[in-house]
Amino acid sequence: MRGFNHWQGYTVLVLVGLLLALAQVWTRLQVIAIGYTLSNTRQLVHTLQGEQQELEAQWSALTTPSRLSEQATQRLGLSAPQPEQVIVMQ
Amino acid sequence: MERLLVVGGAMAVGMLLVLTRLVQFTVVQSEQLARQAASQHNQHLTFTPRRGTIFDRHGEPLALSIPAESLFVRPRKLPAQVVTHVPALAQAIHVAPQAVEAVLHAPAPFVWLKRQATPHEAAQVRALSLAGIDSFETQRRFYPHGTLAAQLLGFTDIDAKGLEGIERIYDEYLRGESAEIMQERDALGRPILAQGAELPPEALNVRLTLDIGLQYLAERELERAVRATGAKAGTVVMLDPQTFAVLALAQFPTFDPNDPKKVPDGLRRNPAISDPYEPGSTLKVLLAAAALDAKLVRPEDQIFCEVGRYRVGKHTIHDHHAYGWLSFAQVLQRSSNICAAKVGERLGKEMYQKYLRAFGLGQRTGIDLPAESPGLLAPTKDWSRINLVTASFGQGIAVTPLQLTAAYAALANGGVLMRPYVVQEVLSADGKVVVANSPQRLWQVVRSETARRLLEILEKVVEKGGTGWRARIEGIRMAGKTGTSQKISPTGGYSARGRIASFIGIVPADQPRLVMLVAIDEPKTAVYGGEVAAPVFRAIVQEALAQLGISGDIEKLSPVVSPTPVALTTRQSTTRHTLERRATASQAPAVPTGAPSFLGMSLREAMFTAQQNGWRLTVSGSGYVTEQTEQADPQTGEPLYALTLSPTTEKEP
Repeated sequence: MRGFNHWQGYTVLVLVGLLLALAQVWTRLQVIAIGYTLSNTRQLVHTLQGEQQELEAQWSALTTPSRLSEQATQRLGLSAPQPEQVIVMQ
Repeated sequence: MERLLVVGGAMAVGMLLVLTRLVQFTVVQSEQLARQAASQHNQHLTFTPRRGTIFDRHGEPLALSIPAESLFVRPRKLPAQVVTHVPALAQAIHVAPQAVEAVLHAPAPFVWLKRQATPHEAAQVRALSLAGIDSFETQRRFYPHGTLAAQLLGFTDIDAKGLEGIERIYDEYLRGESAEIMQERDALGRPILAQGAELPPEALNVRLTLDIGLQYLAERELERAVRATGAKAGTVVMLDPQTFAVLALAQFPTFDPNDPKKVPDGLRRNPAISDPYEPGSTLKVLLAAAALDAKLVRPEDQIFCEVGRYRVGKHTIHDHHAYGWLSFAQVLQRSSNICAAKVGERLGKEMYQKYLRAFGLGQRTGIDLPAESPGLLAPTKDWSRINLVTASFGQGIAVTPLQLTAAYAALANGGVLMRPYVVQEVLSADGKVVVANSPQRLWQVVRSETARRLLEILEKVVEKGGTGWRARIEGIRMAGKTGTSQKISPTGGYSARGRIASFIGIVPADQPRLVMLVAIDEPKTAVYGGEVAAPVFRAIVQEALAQLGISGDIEKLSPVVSPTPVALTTRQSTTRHTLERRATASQAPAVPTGAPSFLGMSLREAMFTAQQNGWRLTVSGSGYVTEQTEQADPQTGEPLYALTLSPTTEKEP
């Protein structure tokens, strides 16, 4: 350990300590930043789930049998098939 | 030196003070200070999951929760010029300006402005940026099909608590469990999920046995019948006799569960399970099952029907027609009260009651719906001779529509009674089955041979000459029984005019897939079950068969006028297209001599032709047949025709 005196040793120790402290601060800041992202993402998921539910509700209301039947008979002129017109595919 | 000592001493004292505070904060007050810090940074939230969805058997949502916001006002925090915003507020939340003004001037620290407002309404209110008006997130129960299956589904209160029907019975699963969630927040109150995100709890979903298509059919035809006959109400119960799963349960009049307060309480009940009625002649089938099973009669036995009048003590029993000698089968076909009474007397009250109870009368079926009535079946000791006689044709006994349908379903199920049920399974949010409701066999009521023979007799009821002929659909084997019962008068005895006309049928009679009761309460135009309820049964079954994939006996079906689906095109365009299709198909490779040609046919035409001739097909594509090849079935060696279909390029006019 020639040429490596006490002062140099202390300096290295202080620098390592400083680096560790900076790393600690950096990781903490990263945790906070990710925490914000996570929080925003969760809120987004929640909002999108709500919108999905709303769209599902609209879809169901628009495809309700009474409405489809009305549209089929009045707009498209369809009618229900008679039993003899139905062939069941096995 | 002195100076140095003074400075050193001062620094030492300072350091001591700092150390003392340090010890005070980190050791003495550490817990208290940590708590204070946590209360500033952490927020405890009670998370209530969104209420689960109710699906029909095919996964169609019948009830679901959608996001909403509850708007509230803190009148004391409102700015002075809030009055100028009243019209805008009223317009945003679709409420009268007077009502908004009353809320803003309410002498209370907290008032609801509008509960369960839509997210759009809440956003419009927020856009006004008024201090003292705020909102929190909530949910609103929505029934997308409106009145469909309303009495069965039930409804919830404003706090999403199930009050009736499935919503009430399965409330525990649908509501889910609230959870306390701790979340860190910054100085501005924004959440920071530095500890990771806890998954919020999710409620469970419920899948019913109900078939939305059949339910719609039942409700549509029931409403038509009730309106056409000027009746007071009507009920349809449809069960799968192999499992006793409820396929449809319709009532009319009904209500919209999206706004249940609009109708009186009585309309929100479920009469199919809660309101017993005297079944009338439909009970004769259970009497006949008992008599046949006990081997006291045979279908061909002759019984004298006393030419329309039969004296029992001081009472006289009448028939609607004066019958003389009838076979036991004819007694059911023509629905003679007098002959039924004689069979009842032959059976005796103990044995008759034993069978009635075995069929599930006088007790709850155990269906998973609230407020089920056990009906009314008095103990044997309370029955006099006249009670036995009248009970033989369905008077003096009260049953719920569901009980009676389940009893008929037992006959259709080889004599085995099962527990009716309406919830198929409870599912987690990711679709895993949490609770499964499997069919539950109760007991064998009558021998399977008895059930089979009885169904053969009941087929005659829907044939020409039977009381239920109006229920008949050519080509389909059907069994059933009509019933016309007098209603009890509120003043005692039977009502002079109040009747319940009913029909219960089993389809197809040889391989039952559907048991259905139709009951019309107080029809005005006619009163007999055969005239009022049987046509409703026919109308429902006619469409239900296609939905259930039941085909009739093709030989007996009336010939098809136009094999192309008349529902899809007008007659003129059908003819033109058929000719064009055949012309296009003629360019396809020739069909070997002697083999049938499907070229140019629609899938329906090809299927119909194949079914009539007993040929077997495999098909690919859609549109019209453009290619056909003949192969031998690898298993049976029989010819198998492989058809390739292609769409036409012609545009619809």
